[in-house]
Amino acid sequence: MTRVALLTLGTFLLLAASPWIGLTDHPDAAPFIVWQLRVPRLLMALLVGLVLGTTGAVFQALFRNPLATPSTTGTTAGATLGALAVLVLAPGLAHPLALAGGAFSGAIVLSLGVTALAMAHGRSIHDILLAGVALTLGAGALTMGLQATADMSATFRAVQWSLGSLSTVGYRDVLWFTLPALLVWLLMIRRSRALDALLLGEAQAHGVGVDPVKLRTELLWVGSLGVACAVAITGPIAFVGLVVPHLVRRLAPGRRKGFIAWSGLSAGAFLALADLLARHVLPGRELPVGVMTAAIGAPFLVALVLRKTP
Amino acid sequence: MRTLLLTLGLTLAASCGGRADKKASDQTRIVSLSPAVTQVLEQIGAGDEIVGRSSWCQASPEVCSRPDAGSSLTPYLEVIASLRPSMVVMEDAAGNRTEHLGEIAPVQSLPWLSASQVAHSIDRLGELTGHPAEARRLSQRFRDELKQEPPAEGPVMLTLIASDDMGRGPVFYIRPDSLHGAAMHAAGWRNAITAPPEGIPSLTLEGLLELDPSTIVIVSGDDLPAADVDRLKHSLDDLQPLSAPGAGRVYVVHGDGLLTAGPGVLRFAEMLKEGIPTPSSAQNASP
Amino acid sequence: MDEGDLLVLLGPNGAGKSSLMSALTGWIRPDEGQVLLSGSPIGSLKATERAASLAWLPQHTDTSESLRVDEAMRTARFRFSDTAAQEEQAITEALRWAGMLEFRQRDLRTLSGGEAQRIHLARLAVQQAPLWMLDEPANHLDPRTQREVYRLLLDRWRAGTTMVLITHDPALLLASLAPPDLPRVHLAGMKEGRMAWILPADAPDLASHLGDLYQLQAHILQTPRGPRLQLEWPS
Repeated sequence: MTRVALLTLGTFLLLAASPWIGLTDHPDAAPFIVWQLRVPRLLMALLVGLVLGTTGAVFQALFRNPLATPSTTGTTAGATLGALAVLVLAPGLAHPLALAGGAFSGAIVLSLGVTALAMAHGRSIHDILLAGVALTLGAGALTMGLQATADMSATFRAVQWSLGSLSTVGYRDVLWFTLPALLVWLLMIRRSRALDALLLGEAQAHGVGVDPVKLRTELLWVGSLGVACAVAITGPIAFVGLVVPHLVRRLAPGRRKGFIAWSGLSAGAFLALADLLARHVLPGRELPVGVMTAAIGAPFLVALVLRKTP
Repeated sequence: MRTLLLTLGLTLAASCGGRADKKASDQTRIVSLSPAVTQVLEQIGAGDEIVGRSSWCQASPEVCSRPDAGSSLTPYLEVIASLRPSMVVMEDAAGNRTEHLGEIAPVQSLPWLSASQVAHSIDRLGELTGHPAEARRLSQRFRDELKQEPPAEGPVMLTLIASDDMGRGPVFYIRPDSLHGAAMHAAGWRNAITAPPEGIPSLTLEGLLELDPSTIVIVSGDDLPAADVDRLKHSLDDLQPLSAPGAGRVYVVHGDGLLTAGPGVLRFAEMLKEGIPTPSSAQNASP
Repeated sequence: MDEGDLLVLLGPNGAGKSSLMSALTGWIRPDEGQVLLSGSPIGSLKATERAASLAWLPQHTDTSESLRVDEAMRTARFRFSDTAAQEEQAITEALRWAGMLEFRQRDLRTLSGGEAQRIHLARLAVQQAPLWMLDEPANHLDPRTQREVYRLLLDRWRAGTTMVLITHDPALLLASLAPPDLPRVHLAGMKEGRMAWILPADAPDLASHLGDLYQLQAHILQTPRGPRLQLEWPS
């Protein structure tokens, strides 16, 4: 875990200096750009990454499936559907919170539907995974159906939202999100010992004193709630929760102590770095951060699959 | 297979057509796949000849209640075939799907980017529908009331497209080489964006702060309730280094159809001319 | 069962041995009857309370995730909230008992079947529960490793750990027992979900019961090193 820690802390140092990179010559605007635009945005990226990375690491262990992500429980698909439903069905609701509200409701309805399944005794974790995939695909089809009936501006807005953005002004969103993000992180760290026991199988975990049904119910609820909050603010941001835990695992093979905690911190650093690149790679233009995380994450994941397992 | 389906559709459409339509059939039957073209057709008195309209429709409710024929990118071939049009009209744009439409009816693909192109295309629509005089009157307004070239002197304005998260992320603006850009010039304003951008006309918040235009107009293509107008007016207040909000020089212009490339552009030019005081006149007006 | 007993569950495939053990460990809830652990129904205990009395080695373990031996050992300390030093000491002791001390930094997935099984026994040991339940602990192992696993287990049992054991190899079990152990070991024959009989390992009619259980002919030969069981087709 030392290598992971060094890499993450190094990135944090770089990020700490990043708000002063490439400032405009506009002398009055510079302090505002640094303190009201870039710093809150950096904090937002760190917090969202923290939630996505932690949840990704936990869900991969919980489902014992390397492809499980924070959206495996239908969270992202539900949020996208909810946001689009607001845009299409209630176009008059132009309030900025309407979109976030729609996204949050969609995410919660779908992911809680999936996690409710997890509470039943004797239900295998693979059934839950399958239900998550089914609901995700179903919601995706509904989203496309809505899109086909939507007018141009709603579709455009929905596509824009679905790419994810960390854009924020001031600290209101950051303050709002800090508490849920840290709660998700800390609770999942607290449960990491129980989660590690689950790695050898649910029966094994039961043997050493873990209640697997209680554990998965709790973690699925907490993870889904945290991801729903994140998605409501920033839109879905792909690949962070999938790729970062794998990266941590490669750097510290077989180590579980600190795995959850560092997956979260590294994902925060990864997302903030991706956002930094998204803003500076094209002069005067901002790429959606989802495009950047996918651009880094997708080739990485392919390389990961092709590489021989250590 | 596609041809077969199409033929089938045509045959069905032909057999379904009632005797009542016989009279109308020697008239022009137009399917318009562009909201702007639909508006123009209605305005020059050819509204009754429209038998199908584009999915996104900004014309009168009467015209917009007619069958939805899709868009120029995704035309509903079966619907269009069953409407037995004598012509299909659309804006000329990359990606249009004209290859099968031509088998149903003659396709008029009209250039629609600059003021002069639009004026020319309106004249063409007048000829095609037999309303040349009305078309001429409208096209003349496009020639007279819009100016593609910016004025040499004059105050500077940036026009942003309203969105519900205005002021929290990248903003979209009206480019100088567009129809609406010509409306800004005609109203006596210079565009804060001097060089037409490549690709999507958007600015990051940092770019907006750097530009810091003295006047900002937020335009919406819908009729907005007063609460939304007020919210948009104050949506840039958080960006403190920006001078326009502090100086009370953020204006909201809104109205149905204002953002389509049809007669709404002329209305937009009028609203800018009448509704937005220039910085100097505002200073004179204030005590 | 009493403290210090060794109960061996025998029976053909599908007889319900694993289901019975799952119910005994509280992993599945029995349709009828109840399991009492030191007088309380097992379902009413908190998971960590149960784990303090009862350690379980299920038939299958998941090894899809790369996991270091010491981390795998750590998971068996879940019920404890001890300091890093205490944990370290307990893990070292258990690994030394299983003869696996030098493997502590290895990845569980790179171990041979026999090595992995010794680690699982060490995990049972580090949990420090007085009652062990093991489902076919010597399956899929070579003859020498099978005997080593039984030696480790029986040493533990002789030192006072109560055990319930499922096996398909009663001959190997009997061969691993020393003559003084025999009266204290009970064999239970299961058939079609029911317990058909329970006999001590030195019962004179054990051979006929075993033969009946597997539909084979069973002979028990008394040798100086203890009884030896042989199973073969009926002639």
